[in-house]
Amino acid sequence: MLPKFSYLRANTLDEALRHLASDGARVHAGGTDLLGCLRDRVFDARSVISISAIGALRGIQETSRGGLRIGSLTTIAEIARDPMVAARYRALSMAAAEVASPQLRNQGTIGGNLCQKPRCWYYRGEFDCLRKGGDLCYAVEGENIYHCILGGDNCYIVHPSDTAPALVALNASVLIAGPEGQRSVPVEAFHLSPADDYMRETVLETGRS
Amino acid sequence: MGIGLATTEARMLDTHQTGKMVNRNGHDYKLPTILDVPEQMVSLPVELADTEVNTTGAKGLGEPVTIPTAAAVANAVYHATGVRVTGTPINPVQLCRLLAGQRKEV
Repeated sequence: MLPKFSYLRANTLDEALRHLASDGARVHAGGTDLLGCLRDRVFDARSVISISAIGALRGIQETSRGGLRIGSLTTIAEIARDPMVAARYRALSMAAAEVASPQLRNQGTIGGNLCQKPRCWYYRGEFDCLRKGGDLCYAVEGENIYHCILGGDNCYIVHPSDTAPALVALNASVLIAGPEGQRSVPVEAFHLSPADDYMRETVLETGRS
Repeated sequence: MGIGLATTEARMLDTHQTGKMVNRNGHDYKLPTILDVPEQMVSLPVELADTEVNTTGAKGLGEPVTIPTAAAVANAVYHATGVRVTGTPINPVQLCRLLAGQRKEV
């Protein structure tokens, strides 16, 4: 069952940033991962801020430097079938086509694909594991066939994004908006390994009121 | 049901720590879908009337067909690779292990 939370639909990026700075706020785009995590009590939310109405975050455009700028709300299906992506960045096109199932590709966004939570079955299941604030990574002694070989430390997740390896190989960067402005981070430096911080998967930080 | 038993479905238990099932969700417990079968698949019921079981001659066509499916898939894998698989699910991980330990019979 979903926990109780307040739901807000932001119309602009500034509005979304303002709401997301509060404690316990979660961002909602395609919702394919967020709703499952909330329902399975992987984490909690006091407020869910939808960004899906922010048109500026959607679509694929050519940049003046000959690259592509892909809005974070662009769906995986839109990327998989985009002729510009297919012509210039075949790896991304192929990776996008491999993501999950057609329904999830139609609903899931590229921003969400990069920011999704680990698929470790201990983290997702009814286990009070280290990443959820417990004191043990069950994968160390347990069923760890799909867990990481390198880069673990006290948690052994593998980041589940199919598009991230392609974006790293293509030297892509993510443009991150925050209360103090925008910054650009190479995708290669965007994700954190458990050894860096076992409570976070990316350089993004949770909001504080 | 039969294809799932043969190739993807298996309960994974956290045997040595909590005894709980770790893959109790549709993401980790893989059920085959329409994308996992050929576009054209013809089922041919063997129409031999069974008059001993009931008066209509009818036979069940639900769970009974799951019984031979995994064995049929295992036979197809044997035909293709020369490796006899005796456990399910018959997946790439299991096949890699078996192929590494066995050469194709000539």
